[in-house]
Amino acid sequence: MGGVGTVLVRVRRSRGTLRRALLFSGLLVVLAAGAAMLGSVSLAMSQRDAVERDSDAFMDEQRIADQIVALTYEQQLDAYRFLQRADTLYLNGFNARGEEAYREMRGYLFHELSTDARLQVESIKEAHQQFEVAAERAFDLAQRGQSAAALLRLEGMDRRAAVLDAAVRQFLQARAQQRDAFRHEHELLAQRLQLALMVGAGALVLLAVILATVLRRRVLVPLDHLATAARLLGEGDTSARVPQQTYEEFDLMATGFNQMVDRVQASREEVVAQNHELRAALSHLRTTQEELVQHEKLSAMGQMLAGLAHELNNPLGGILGMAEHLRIELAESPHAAVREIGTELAQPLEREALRANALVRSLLSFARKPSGTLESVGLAAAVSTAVGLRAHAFALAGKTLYVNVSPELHVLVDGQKLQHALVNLINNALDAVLISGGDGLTITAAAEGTDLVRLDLDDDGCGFADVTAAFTPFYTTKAADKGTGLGLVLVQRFLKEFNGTVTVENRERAGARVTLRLRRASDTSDAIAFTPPPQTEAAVRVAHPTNVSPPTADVPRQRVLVVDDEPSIREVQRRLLVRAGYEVVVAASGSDARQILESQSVDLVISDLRMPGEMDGYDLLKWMEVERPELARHALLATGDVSGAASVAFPVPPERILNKPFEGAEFVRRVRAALDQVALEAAI
Amino acid sequence: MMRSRRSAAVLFLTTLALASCRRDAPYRIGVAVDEDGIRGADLAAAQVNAAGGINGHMLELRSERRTSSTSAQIALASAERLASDPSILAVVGHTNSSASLAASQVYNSRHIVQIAPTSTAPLYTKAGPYSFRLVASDVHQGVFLANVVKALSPHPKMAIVFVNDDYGRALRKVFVEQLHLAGVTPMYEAPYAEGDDMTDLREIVASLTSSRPDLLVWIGRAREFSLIAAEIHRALPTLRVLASDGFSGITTSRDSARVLDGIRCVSLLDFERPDSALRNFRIEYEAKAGIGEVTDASVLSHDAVILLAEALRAVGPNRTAIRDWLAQVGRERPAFAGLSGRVAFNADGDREPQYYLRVIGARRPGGVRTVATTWAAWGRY
Repeated sequence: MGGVGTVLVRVRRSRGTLRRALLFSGLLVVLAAGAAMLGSVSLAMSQRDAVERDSDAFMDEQRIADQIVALTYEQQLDAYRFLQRADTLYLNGFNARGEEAYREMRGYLFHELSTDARLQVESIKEAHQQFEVAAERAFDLAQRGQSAAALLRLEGMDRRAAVLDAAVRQFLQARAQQRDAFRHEHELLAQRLQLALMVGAGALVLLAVILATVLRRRVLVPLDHLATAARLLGEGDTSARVPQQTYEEFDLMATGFNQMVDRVQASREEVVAQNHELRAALSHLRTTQEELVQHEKLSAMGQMLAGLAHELNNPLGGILGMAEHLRIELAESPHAAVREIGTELAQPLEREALRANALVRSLLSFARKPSGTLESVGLAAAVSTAVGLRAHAFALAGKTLYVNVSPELHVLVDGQKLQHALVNLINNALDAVLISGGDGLTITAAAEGTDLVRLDLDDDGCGFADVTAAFTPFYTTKAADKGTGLGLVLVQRFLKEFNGTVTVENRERAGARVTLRLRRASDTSDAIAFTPPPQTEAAVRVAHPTNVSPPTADVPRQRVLVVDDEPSIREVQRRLLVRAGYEVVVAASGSDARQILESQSVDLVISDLRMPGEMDGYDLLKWMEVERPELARHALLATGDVSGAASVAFPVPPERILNKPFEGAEFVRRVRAALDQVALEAAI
Repeated sequence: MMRSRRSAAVLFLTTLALASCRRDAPYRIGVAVDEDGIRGADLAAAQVNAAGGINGHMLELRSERRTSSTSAQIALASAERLASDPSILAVVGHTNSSASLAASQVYNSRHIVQIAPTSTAPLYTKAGPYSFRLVASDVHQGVFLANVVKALSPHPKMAIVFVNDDYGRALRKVFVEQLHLAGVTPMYEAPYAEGDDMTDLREIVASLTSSRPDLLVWIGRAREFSLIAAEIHRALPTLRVLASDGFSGITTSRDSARVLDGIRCVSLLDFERPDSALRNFRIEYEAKAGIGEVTDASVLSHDAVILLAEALRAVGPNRTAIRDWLAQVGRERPAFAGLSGRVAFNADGDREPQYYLRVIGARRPGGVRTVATTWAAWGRY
């Protein structure tokens, strides 16, 4: 049963089945009782009818007997009268009454009589026949004038009449006995039958009750248990079980059913678990897939940005260098008009180049691969980087982007992911205010307690249509080409990785608020600084190489080999170095540089890392490490891939890397430092 | 030799025992008639059994010898005994109308077919559906007798003596009614009772002598007439006597005194009919009986047994089925050809009327002579 406890089925009796069973039993009882009553009534009526018929028959027989006796008496009277008066009227009367008496006797023929009664009837008939014969003999004697003999004959007639009378009485007595016996027999039969019917009815009722009870206990209740459990199982309740049954057959059935339900429940739980796992895996897979796609997109964009920045840095470096040189040269012109041109044209050119340089650095910073570890990051710098990427879009849309983040706030995050999250949120805010026609976005940050930093992004856009669905993957109210529905999901994912939280809400008046709660970094010494974005045109700081002083004249001029495939960069470097008092040799490729180094003496090699041809900066460095190790140890390597995102690891320490585009003063300073180091080594 | 005989005897007894074991239970018919009837019935049963019995069953008769009495009370007792025997499938009986009429109540109540060979009282077949008879109702005999009277003498001085029982009273009534229709009035009528002694009967003779009829119609049996026949002959030598079928049992051998010679009586069948079966029956009957000639009762009892055997052969030992089969004889099924002639029952169970007039002692020593052979000649109403 596992974790699911055995739940015995509450005997929710099938009312219909039991009702029908009880109804059937009741009907059976009623029918039995009704049959018994009907039988009793029918029997009583039958008995009554039989007794009535017998009584009627007896009455009829009584009447016949009375008639026979009466007619016989009348015949006797006629006989005596005939002897007295010899009137044929009496003779005819005698014969007519005799015929009538005979007809009455024939009436007995169709009565149901006992043998004794029939014998009596035959006795009556014989007595009457002899009575009549005796009378006829008397009549003959009288007609022949033998009156005395006739009277004697009449005495014989009288004796026959007495015999007849006795026979009639015996008949009636026999019939009375027969009737009494019949009645007694019928009454006894009726009593016995009634008793039998009552006993039978009672037995039927008892049988019905017993049957109903047995049926209910042995069949209906177990079946009801089974049916209830089966129904519950059919409804999906796998905790349904059939209780243990008294009778073996049903107990076996219950056990089998319960075992089956156990297996069903186990299978179902397994299926449900697998289903949940599959759903979670599918959801995770989809999210991961989308994230992967997003990451791939971001990665590709980062690579593209890195490549783009590298490609931009070379011309940008040239422009910056040229503009810087031009400004310096023009500033040193004795002509006011020329100096004015330098101020009005060359200086803005240099400034814009620097601004472009900063933008490229921001792009490179954004495109950098996440570190995968949590680090202390300056929140203001991170916000500035993200804001810098979208500030121009806000400016173009006429929306304000107000940031108020203290530089002292540091958080423990993966800086790249935090930037991605912020850019996503800033983009969402911009889309929202564009829809609603709001003013813009305000980003504020403040410490929350000692461990957290709270960052609020408040916009006055359209707000969330459904706040609860904000973090649902693929949920978006933007147009199909504007959003994937994964932005906030990624933000939530990132914040979770930072052990922080993100919440969203609609503001009371208008717009939405996204609140990030980040763990505050306890140690800010290693805080990663992000390239600050060019906030505004005026904010772009213009570096002035005028601070770089050239080497003194009495110092022998040191010789520097500049290797760069970009002519403008090469020329800018040459000019900067010449201006700084160095002797400069230039090479357009690694191969050219190798030839120079094989034939000439130089103090320092400044080489671009990425160059076309058979030998790039790496190869040149390797060659120098073998052929000219003293040069290799101090060589400076220039690269437009300032972030290193698109290149292999640098082969030299960071202090020997020159990031393009570089400002003239910084460049000269780095070169001078390297040459100082060379000189120091040589002195040692 | 001794051993071989013993073995043969054992084998014979074993075979006999096996044969008897295989034999089916016999069909049993009750017989409650006089001695003449019993002889005729016995011959019929022997004839049936000699032919292989009835569907493998032997025919067995249970005779109530005491029923030679015409007493209704004795008939009732006999009927009760027969009806109480569940093996009795039908009954041939009883001797006269009173006996048959009394017994018919018992048989009908027990659903046993009763075939009365010689009972002619009209009331008999009214008793119930199980009552049949091989003679016609006296309704017809009364007509027949009246026609005979008219043929004998258009204006007879006629006396009627009748037995005062069911038979005599009914026949006398119909006869007198027919006479009245013909304009004839009996000058003297006298009933008598069976068993009357000579004193009673002589008073009848005296009355007859005083009234001096020229024709005496005796509706009754021959026994009482025989007692006074001589006295009547002496007192009224020219008196012609016409008797009902109650005289049918009179044979030459039973009238050794020849007091009945010349008496015309109604016969229920024609013994002079050229019928080989009847002739053979007479020969066989007289050879076995050894005491007299065949009578109406013997032939009709024979026919009754054969008829019941036919019914049993057709429907088996079922009382109701036997009754139904008999009721169809002569109607739904062909008439039965018996020694007494064609037997066909009407709806009441009565046979079609056939009467013959015989003169007793006309052919001595050959028995009776039939003077009118057809019902058609004397039976018109």
